[in-house]
Amino acid sequence: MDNLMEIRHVSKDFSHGVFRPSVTHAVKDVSFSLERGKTFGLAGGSGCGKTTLTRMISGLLSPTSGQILLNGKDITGLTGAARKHYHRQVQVVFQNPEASLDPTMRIRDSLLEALEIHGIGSSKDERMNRILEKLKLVALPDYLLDRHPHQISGGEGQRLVICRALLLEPEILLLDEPTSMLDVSVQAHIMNILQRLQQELGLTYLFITHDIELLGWISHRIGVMYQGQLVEAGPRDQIMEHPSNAYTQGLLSAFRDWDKEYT
Amino acid sequence: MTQDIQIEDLNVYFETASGPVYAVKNLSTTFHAGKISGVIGESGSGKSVMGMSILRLLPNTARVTGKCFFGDQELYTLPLRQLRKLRGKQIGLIPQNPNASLDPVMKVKRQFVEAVTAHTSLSRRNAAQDAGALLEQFGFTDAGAILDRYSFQMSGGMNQRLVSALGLINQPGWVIADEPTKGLDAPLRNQVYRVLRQIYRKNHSSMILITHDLLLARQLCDDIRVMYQGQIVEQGDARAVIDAPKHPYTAGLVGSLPSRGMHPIPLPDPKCEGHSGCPFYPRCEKATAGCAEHPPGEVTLPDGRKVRCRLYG
Ligand SMILES: Nc1ncnc2c1ncn2[C@@H]1O[C@H](COP(=O)(O)OP(=O)(O)OP(=O)(O)O)[C@@H](O)[C@H]1O
Ligand SMILES: Nc1ncnc2c1ncn2[C@@H]1O[C@H](COP(=O)(O)OP(=O)(O)OP(=O)(O)O)[C@@H](O)[C@H]1O
Ligand SMILES: [Mg+2]
Ligand SMILES: [Mg+2]
Repeated sequence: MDNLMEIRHVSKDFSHGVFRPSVTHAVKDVSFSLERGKTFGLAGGSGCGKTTLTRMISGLLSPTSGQILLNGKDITGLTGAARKHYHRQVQVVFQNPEASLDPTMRIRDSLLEALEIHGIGSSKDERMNRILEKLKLVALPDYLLDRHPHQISGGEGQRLVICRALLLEPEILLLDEPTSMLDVSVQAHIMNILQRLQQELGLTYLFITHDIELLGWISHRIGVMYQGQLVEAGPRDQIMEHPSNAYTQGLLSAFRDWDKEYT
Repeated sequence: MTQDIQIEDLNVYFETASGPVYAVKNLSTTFHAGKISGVIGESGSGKSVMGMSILRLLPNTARVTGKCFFGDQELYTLPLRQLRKLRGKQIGLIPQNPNASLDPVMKVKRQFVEAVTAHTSLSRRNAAQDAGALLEQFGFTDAGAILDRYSFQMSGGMNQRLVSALGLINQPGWVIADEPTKGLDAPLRNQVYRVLRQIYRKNHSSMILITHDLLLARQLCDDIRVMYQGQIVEQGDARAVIDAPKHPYTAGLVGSLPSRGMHPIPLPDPKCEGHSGCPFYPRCEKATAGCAEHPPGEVTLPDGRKVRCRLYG
């Protein structure tokens, strides 16, 4: 196995309240690895620590303890150019798209700026061409570029954030419920694009979802979190067909029983 | 005593720097009192804009024409003072974007208390108690601690449940719920489903449910409207619409469910651009030459279903 990233014994505590301080152990001693060119699917209940883990892997939040390694090197010590490179190499699609787009800028300028910061494209024309190409990929019309982020629908915003992530030509994509605001046809389109890009470019994904169908479709390995801990992880078929953990079993059957009633 | 919400010939466009954006086109529909009315359809098809128009919560760049009757009141022209009394109390809203509706610098408790005391003479302490009880129904086991936090200290699914509770706190007779189950794990989605159904049964409330979750819509709703590019293209009994769709768009949507193998509706055929006919024509497998020429009218089928497609006359 070719492990591009390793998450080793990572924990994160949040403390809140000034007068009655309390601590949330959002992530507790989590270890797993992201294999190059493959998808690690992550599921788990609301508030179990998935987004917190994603923010740590993206380098936006530092762990209370533990290590995150890219190609064997700890990312916490990254500075200057290496840090900037990391932030291009690892792109995140956050769960709430509206918070990831600059509200004061037109969408076109936001996207152009992201390319400029990372020195992608030699001229404005070339950058524009890249933007148009990626917009098409996520099935968005180019007239949205003239608008501000508050002038588009929820699902349009979600696709725009995916578009921006792809523009920076990352090696690793951290996808936090990237299709939760899409209709099922657009969702199927995006899922197919993601799978195709992985096959063509060898991209590595961390894919977080509450939809067990999507999880099984895209993942090579699957991990399940419960209250901050990774309670089970393994190859896709093993987790989908023979989960050994009681929490995983409950999560899968809650999803499937709903479906059963339908079909 | 609840009353129908009846939209007549609604058109909404937005003024933007690069010209008007048409979001809703000639839309008429009745949301029946005592029922759960589903709205499904394409991302960007105008579902949220239609929902927000009812409470007049669209930005001031929106141009709205048409009528929306709530009993004998016409909401689009009702004086703002009267409309404000109705918001939250008679018609509650669960907005699509939790982050935009939760105040980042206000503790959750204060937001609930203010929502309650704006409409009743309840004490702040009682209001907080009501909020805590409702949060427990939404799966928070430590409601007291949650009320003491800020929204940025919460996960996506926690905030989603908070805005749902906030929209229901005054027990409104009508609720407009815009994707209340998105981002929730399966056990919680089932729980929210049960809460919505329970509130609906116990308080005899009526609901407009906007969702991408087709199975939820099928289970929870009495009837469903399917939107595509600002129009309702199909409307009928919830189970009938999902189990035996009539409009090719609805059929394509149901066929895109992950359980059916992740097959999207094809993207528009570039050869079909610049036509003046049916908006779905460039993507429709059943299209015939006539579809490119005239937009289809609404046809009512024997089972009461309404479809906007030339296949049916
Ligand atoms: N900035 C913060 N301050 C304090 N607590 C936080 C903060 N961010 C997250 N938490 C807490 O950490 C826990 C994990 O949150 P996280 O957002 O990682 O959950 P999640 O698994 O992504 O859930 P969801 O599926 O609902 O999005 C939650 O209890 C949350 O309240
Ligand atoms: N303030 C605005 N200015 C210009 N256009 C807007 C504005 N708000 C929404 N729109 C456009 O109106 C159309 C309808 O938007 P709406 O938010 O109602 O879609 P939706 O059906 O709710 O989609 P989703 O499922 O993605 O939330 C979209 O194409 C959107 O780009
Ligand atoms: Mg999350
Ligand atoms: Mg919407």
